[in-house]
Amino acid sequence: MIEAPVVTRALAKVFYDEARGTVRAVDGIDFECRVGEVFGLLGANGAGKTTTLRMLSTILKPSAGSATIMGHDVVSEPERVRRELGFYSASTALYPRLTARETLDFFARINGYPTREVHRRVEQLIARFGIGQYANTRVEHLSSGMKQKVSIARTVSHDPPLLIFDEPTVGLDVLNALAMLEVIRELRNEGKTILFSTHIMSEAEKLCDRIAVIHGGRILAIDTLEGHRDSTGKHYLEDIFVHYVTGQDDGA
Amino acid sequence: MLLLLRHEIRSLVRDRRTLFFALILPLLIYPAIFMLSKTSQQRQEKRRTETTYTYAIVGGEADQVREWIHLARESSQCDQADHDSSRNDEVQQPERGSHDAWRFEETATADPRTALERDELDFYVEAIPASANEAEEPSQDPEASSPLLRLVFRGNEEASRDGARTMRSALNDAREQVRERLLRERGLELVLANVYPIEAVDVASSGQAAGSLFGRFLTALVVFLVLGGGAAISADALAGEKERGTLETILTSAAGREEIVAAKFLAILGVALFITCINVVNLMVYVSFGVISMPAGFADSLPPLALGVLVLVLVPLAALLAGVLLLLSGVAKTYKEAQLYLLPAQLFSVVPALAAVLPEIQLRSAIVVVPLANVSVAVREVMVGRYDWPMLIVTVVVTTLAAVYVVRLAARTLLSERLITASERDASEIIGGPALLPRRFPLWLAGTWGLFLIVGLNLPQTLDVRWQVLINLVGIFIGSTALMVWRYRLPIGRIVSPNRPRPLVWIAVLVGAPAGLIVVETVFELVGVVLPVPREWLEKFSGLLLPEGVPLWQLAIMMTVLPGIAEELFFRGVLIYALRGRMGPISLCLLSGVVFGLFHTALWRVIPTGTLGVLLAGVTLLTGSIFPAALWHALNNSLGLGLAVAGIDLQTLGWEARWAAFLLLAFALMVIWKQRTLYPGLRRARQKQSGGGTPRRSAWSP
Repeated sequence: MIEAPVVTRALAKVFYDEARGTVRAVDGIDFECRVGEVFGLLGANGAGKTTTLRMLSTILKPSAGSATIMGHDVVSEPERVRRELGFYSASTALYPRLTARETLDFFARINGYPTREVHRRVEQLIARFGIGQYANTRVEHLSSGMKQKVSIARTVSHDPPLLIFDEPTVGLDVLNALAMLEVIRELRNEGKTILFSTHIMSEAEKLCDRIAVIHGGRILAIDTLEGHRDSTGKHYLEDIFVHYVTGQDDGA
Repeated sequence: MLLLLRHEIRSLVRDRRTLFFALILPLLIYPAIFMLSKTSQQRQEKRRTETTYTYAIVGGEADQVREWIHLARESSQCDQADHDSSRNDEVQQPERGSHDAWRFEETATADPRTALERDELDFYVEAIPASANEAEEPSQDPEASSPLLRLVFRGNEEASRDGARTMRSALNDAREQVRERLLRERGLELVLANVYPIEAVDVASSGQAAGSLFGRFLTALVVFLVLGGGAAISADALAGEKERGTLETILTSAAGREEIVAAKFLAILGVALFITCINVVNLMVYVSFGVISMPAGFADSLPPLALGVLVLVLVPLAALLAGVLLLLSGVAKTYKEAQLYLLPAQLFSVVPALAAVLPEIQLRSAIVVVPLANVSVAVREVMVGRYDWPMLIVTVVVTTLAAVYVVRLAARTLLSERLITASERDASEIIGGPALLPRRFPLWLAGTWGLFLIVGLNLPQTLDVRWQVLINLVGIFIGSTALMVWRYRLPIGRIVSPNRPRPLVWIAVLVGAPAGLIVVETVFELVGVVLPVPREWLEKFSGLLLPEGVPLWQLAIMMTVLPGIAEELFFRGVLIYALRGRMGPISLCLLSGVVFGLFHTALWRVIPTGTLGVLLAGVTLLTGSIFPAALWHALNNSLGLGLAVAGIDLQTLGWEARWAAFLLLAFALMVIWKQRTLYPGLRRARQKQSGGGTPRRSAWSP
């Protein structure tokens, strides 16, 4: 049996905040992400999505529980884990003084892509994402749309099997946001496993094969959109989300 | 890592701002400063030689004063003529006659003080009659009576100051002539200059003299250049990346944290060294063109051997400074904040770097273990041609270790989750309490050591030894322990004795302490082969151990009981409690020993005392209590005191006795090992408890 690309078991993260004291940002979550699917983490701001994804990408250390990426433990094998994934978020900026081509070359190499094939891979990405015209322009001179393309190309530069997109459309205009979703869909079609977080219902509806509703650091439900509809009796994802969240709040 | 290093350098080279501030600006600024200083000096000199000073004479005996000034003028012209003829035997300067040297012009004024304040005069000479001068003790010789000449000038005006000084010097010469004339008139053919003439002969070579001067400041200059050169790239290295958001990007790549830090460190070090070298070469170029002048003998002060040793000593220093820059960048949240930290860093670094300026500091002292200060003194000694090889090696090792430590600290800032999640802070920072102690303990240790040194240096030598012991042991060690207990709400019972030692341990201590004393003495003998200790130092130490007029029972309390309590509480109790979770047992023992040794400031005592410290820390870790170590310590000191009182010198012991002591010590330690009740919460023990298997060492591990 092939192990799921992402497995979390009772994963938790506790912070200590001056204003709020102890905060359980992620409170023991369990989920598995299957090969080739887009798995969505749907939650409001502060629900624990970003903290979960940062633990999976080894930036943050879990306070409890465990997680594996492509079979590698995020605590004991962080570098192996990072080799297997591409991480994209609004806060993963590009080096302004590198050109687009140099950016792709640098990240492909640093992430362990075979040296001899880096050049071919970079040219392939430049063609694929249509950044040929400004491939030799420094990133600091690019428009935000151009930067977005380079940034996605940077995320997949080493051809990882798992891609993590943390609220990738935040700050983008409608057209760029749609383009971003289209790219994610294409990557899924190419066989990549995608972990995708958002607070925008329509994005999750359009893109995700399965959706986990996360609230207060806990996963309230995991299912396909159809499954959620069946179990809640609601049609729209927004209603489904409210159903889960208010049910949780009522019960709390 | 090479890829990351290349990336850092490429980013730097493409940053015009960094290039300009780090490279181009210093290339222009430093020579400009030197040129400005030289021009200013030349102008000052020119003005001094060309200014005609105006003065007035006041008082009732103005004519006599004029006569004196006339004499002074003649004397000055003679001196100038001699000077000119000796300097310009071959070069004629017809346009400048000897009379040019006298540039004073008398002017009349009714109110000289007001004229002086209005800048109408440079100074005035006030003649106070002899009768006023001799009111209390009138002279018996009317010819020898003369008015007191008072030169009144304004010290805040350069012309006034210079004019008065020159006039005073000329009047002094005239006075010599008058005195000689008076003596001649009384039948004494005496030339005052020939009475007890003094001649000073400097046997130092010009290179040594120049080295003595430059050696004092070279380290501070290097510190300044390295910090200045590495500042721009270091601010960008971590703080700049945080600000731009590229840090999260690189942290989610497969590059290891250590690789990232190492690459950034090497980039800062390389760039700082490169810029320092460029600046030095730049200055040399200006020197060779004569734009900047260097004193005679400067080149001689740097023979190839000295140059090589200086490089060996200064490169670790540059590494230490690069580490400090990286650490500051790691602590800062923004580029601007990192730049703000630069000035305090420069000030804090330059102060120890000027240690060589202080008189009487030798490298063969406790200074050798103080980073930066040791390099400063080492550089001065090398530049005057004194090569104390063991101490130079210690200097390089200490500086390198300090650099490694600082870089590790910088690496830890990269591991901090606060880099990514700014609002979330570590529990101990908020809650305080015992969890905060491990982080703060190095600062407490450094502070206590600093206090210990300051108190030690400032306690009067005449102070009763009992007061000295009380101040050190009770005031400093118990005091700082008590402060830590109060500040971090530490459980005192847990610090002193988390476990109850087994009975056999006490017997082992009774056997081990005397054996340990002999082993430590043997270590001292072995160290003495490399670092011989002068006999007088040992005699002085014995004198301190047995001060006169102090009853033996008091000595016993001061030298045995109190150290057993106070030092064990600090060096084993609180130190091990604070660092038990951060270091393995062996590192803890070594650290406790090193710290214990360093607090016994005399350099020759550091290694033997450190050995005792390691033993005592080992006993504490094995028994989980400081009481056996306290007993051991007290016994050790009691035996030492007893031997001193009895006049027995352990140096006379044969090797058989030393081997026997070594075996006895091993036996005692084995018994303690067998009876061990391990100190709780040690790092290795905790890892085993957490399920065995592969220890969970990761990029987050400190």
